Amino acid sequence: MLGICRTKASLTLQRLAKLNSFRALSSFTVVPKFALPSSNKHISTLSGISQHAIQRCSQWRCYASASSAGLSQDKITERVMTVIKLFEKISAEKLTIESHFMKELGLDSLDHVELLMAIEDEFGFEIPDQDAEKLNKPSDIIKYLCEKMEDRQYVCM
Amino acid sequence: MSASAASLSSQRQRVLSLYRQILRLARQWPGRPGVADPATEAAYIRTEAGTLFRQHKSLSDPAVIESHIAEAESRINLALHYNIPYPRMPNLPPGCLATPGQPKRRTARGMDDALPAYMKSYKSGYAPKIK
Repeated sequence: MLGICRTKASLTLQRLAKLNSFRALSSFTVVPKFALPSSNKHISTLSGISQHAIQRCSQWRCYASASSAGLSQDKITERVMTVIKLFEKISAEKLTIESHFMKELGLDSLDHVELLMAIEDEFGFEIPDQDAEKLNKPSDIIKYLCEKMEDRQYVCM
Repeated sequence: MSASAASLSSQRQRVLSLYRQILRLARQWPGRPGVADPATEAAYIRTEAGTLFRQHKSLSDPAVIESHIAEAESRINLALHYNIPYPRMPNLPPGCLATPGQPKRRTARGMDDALPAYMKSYKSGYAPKIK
């Protein structure tokens, strides 16, 4: 029940973020104006969200779908490429959507693991090992993330 | 031939999944409140894992790789158990050696062999900079 309240509270934050016309670049559940609590803090320590808002959002139904939550293919592509560009072992000139990490960009397998960790941090869910070894190009990552986003109603941090 | 190639690739998968496990630990590292800052310790875990894994990147003997996998697993288990990511360094005060000054080669080899499995990477003189 606490989990449900937390995800509905994160939807509240998301709608508040859209009202403030703020783009959450790092993750769509994080709004820097309020601190989003980590999973083991109690819901009553949420800053900037009143108890009233929590009670109200328990009455909302979640119709969130991938496109309405701002997770269209273009947005995913943009976020993935930003994360990859910020990775310091990759030179931004050689980077394209189809460039192979190991063969063209010169990453080794440990760097590849670190890059996928950064993508997991950005999108907020874990990529299992068997899937991770197949993601060798940015286009593979984008395709995989689109499939995963469609399976889920909303992303929970 | 194919057996050794198969074992090498499965070892490679184990090594990568260990590295992934360590990085996931660093993400959610609780630290010790009042004693150790979780962010500093998480940064230490990441740099230490990165350095040690890359140091032994080009090993090819499966037995040696296996012993390094055991080293990584024992360090993970110790860090989880004690909530301390740093290894327990051996304590050898200068006064306890029989001959004063630098130890002789045989004594140094004995000291090296006495190190536990989780200190395997430290034997060749690698020492971490703990802040």
